[in-house]
Amino acid sequence: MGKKVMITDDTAFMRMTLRNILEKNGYEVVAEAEDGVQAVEKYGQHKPDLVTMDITMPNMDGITAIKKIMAEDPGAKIVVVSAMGQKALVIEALNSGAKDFIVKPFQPDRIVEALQKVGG
Amino acid sequence: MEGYEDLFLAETQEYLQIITRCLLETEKNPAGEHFAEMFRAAHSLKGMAGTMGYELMAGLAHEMESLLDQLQQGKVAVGPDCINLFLEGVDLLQLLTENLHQQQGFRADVEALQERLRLWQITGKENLPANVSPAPKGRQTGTEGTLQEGHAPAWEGLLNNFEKETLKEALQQGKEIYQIYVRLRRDSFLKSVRVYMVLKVLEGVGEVVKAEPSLQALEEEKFDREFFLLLVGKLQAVPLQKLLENIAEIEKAELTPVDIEARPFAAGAGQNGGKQGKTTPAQIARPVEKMVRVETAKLDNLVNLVGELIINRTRVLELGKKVGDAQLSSTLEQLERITAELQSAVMTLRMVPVKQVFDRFPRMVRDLSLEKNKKVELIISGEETELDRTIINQVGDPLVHLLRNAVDHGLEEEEERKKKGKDPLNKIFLSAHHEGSHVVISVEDNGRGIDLQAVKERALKKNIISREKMKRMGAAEALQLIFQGGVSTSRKVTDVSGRGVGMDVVKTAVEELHGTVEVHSVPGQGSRFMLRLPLTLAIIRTLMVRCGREMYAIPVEAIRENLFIEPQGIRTIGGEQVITLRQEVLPLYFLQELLAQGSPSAQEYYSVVVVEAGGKKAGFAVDALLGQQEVVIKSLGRFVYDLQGIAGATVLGDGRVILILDVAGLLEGRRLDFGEKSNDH
Repeated sequence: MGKKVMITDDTAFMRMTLRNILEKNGYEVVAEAEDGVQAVEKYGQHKPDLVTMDITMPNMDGITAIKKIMAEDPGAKIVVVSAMGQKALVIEALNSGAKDFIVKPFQPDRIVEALQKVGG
Repeated sequence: MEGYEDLFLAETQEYLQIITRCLLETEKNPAGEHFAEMFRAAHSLKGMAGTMGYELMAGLAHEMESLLDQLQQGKVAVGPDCINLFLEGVDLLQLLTENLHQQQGFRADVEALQERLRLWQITGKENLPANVSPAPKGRQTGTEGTLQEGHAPAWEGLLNNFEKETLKEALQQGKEIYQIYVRLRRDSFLKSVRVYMVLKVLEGVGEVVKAEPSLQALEEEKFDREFFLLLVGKLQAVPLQKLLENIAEIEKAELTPVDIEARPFAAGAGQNGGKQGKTTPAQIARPVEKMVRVETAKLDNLVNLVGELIINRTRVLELGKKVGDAQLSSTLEQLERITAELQSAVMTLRMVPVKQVFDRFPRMVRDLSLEKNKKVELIISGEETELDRTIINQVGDPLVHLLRNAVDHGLEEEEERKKKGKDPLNKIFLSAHHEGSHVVISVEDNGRGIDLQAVKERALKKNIISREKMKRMGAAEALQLIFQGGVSTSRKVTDVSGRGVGMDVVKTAVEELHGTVEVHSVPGQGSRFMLRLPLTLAIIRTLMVRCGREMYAIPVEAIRENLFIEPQGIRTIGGEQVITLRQEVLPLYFLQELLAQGSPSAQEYYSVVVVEAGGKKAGFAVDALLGQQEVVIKSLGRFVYDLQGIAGATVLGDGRVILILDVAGLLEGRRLDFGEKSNDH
């Protein structure tokens, strides 16, 4: 069985794209979160092996969500999926505990590579 | 971070001084290579400020650093405007350090200056066509993405002296140097963040000494997809390559040990050309000045303890003499030698070069001369001369006064100088040198000299001297008037040297340090002020005298001469006892009376110590002169610290406590007015 992944993004399109790529590559998408609040909540319920995290989202942004998840589970493996030009935010996310990042729009192999490298 | 504030301030001060000094040198000689040093200082400053959470300072230092990097690489040409811009930066950083806790008030200033620094980085580049950019020696031109695939840089040519030094020190500590090659996947976004991630991984294992392309270029994504880093550290147990290749979009990471010879420093490194010739610590051994920062309070305590030790040693020695045991006395002799060495070693700990004070003057004089529109060259010499830290800390203000006075009053405008047939350039010489147990700091200018007539008239107006006194006054004596409060020689009051305060303040400050001020002046040719300062405040040379059953120590610097007088040599004028010394009438005090220790006994003749301090001269009659002795000053403690006329105490070898007299205080207490009483010659 592939590793369990939770996808976090506020656009349905991006969640769908990610789900397709990941499932094709043998990952099991156990949850989708539309904002930071959901991400924190669902992380607790599903304990996924990996998380993809958008930064700019309503209700709670990705960085806050990363901090909260890291506080709950210091071993959490989160990959940031950011929009272009969010350099400062990406660095902040990395400093908050995210393991790696990729930039949207991305080639399918990029997210797979990132998750593989992070997931070990 | 609270506890680090002092250290932060001290180091910031150092870095600002380095930057200022380099700027001024660059101003004189733009070809001189000071950028690396300034860059390093700005970089360190940024790091410290960032760590301490002073983001405004860090941000400002960052922009300065970026521009310095451009200058260093020859991408931007340096010019006077550029130097002024940096000086503004230094000033603003200084302001921020002085207002550490109210930095936000300067936000607008900082942001404005940052903007200007950024603008310079861009416009400066436009002014200089890329193909004629002067390439500093050994540097490859155009560091932006011109590296060939996998082609390792020639590190040796790229390293500046500081970086070589860092490498060398690392080698001595048993660390190793590695070249790290990183290649990103094609079309990676946010490449700079990849660099950041690489640096973060490396942070844990070593120090990145150099990057090619430069770290700034990497940060600004001015590279294609690969870069090299030079790292020092101990990596044996770290799977660094794996850690790096585990970062997304890093296609390849390679780690190669590097053999770099820090040639300029390495004796005989040239023969080390073998294939496997990894430079060993022994081969590049060189005396490295290792510095340790120590709290000054700890040093003071150490000095104090050694003082106590010396006193007790003397006592033990005397006791040993009484016992008369041969073995004991040879051991004691050894003890004496060692403690003497210890004492001098400890004394040198407190010594710091006057450079620390002098360093701030070139900038000050430059600004003043611009403001006053007088061309002036400040020539500094002897800045390595060492003085006690306490004295160094307190001599700054008097020197500022003297230099300001020199620029403001002493120096002439160019036209004036030309008319007089003088060299159009004003010069101020600031120098320091040893003279016995003293250091003499002199401030000399080649300006107009002191107008004695003006000084005298001023003193008359201020009721410091009478009209007839004024007429009788000789040049030397008139010159001394400038040290009286309220006598300013400037015709117009300026904001530079203020309203007639200055010289008297200088004199008081120097005397507090047990020093003296001398002034020489030749009208039309210039003036010279000489501050004579003791090397240290902890030990002073004194003359021991006896009065009745008590002994006292009089600091030698206050003593002019010793003489013997017969009772008939003492006259009484206006209710005061006086003596005549070479036609000069001096008040005479019996030390016993002065110190309220009873009346002196009648004697065939009296020993008189002629003292001078605080602008007053007098004779102290004592029972006997016992000879000179160096004594360690001990504070009297809180019970009696306000005792006027007593500077402190010392303990003799036999345990006796001796008071050290404060001559200025004693004379002050007498409200003497020697100026009006003495006759002129």
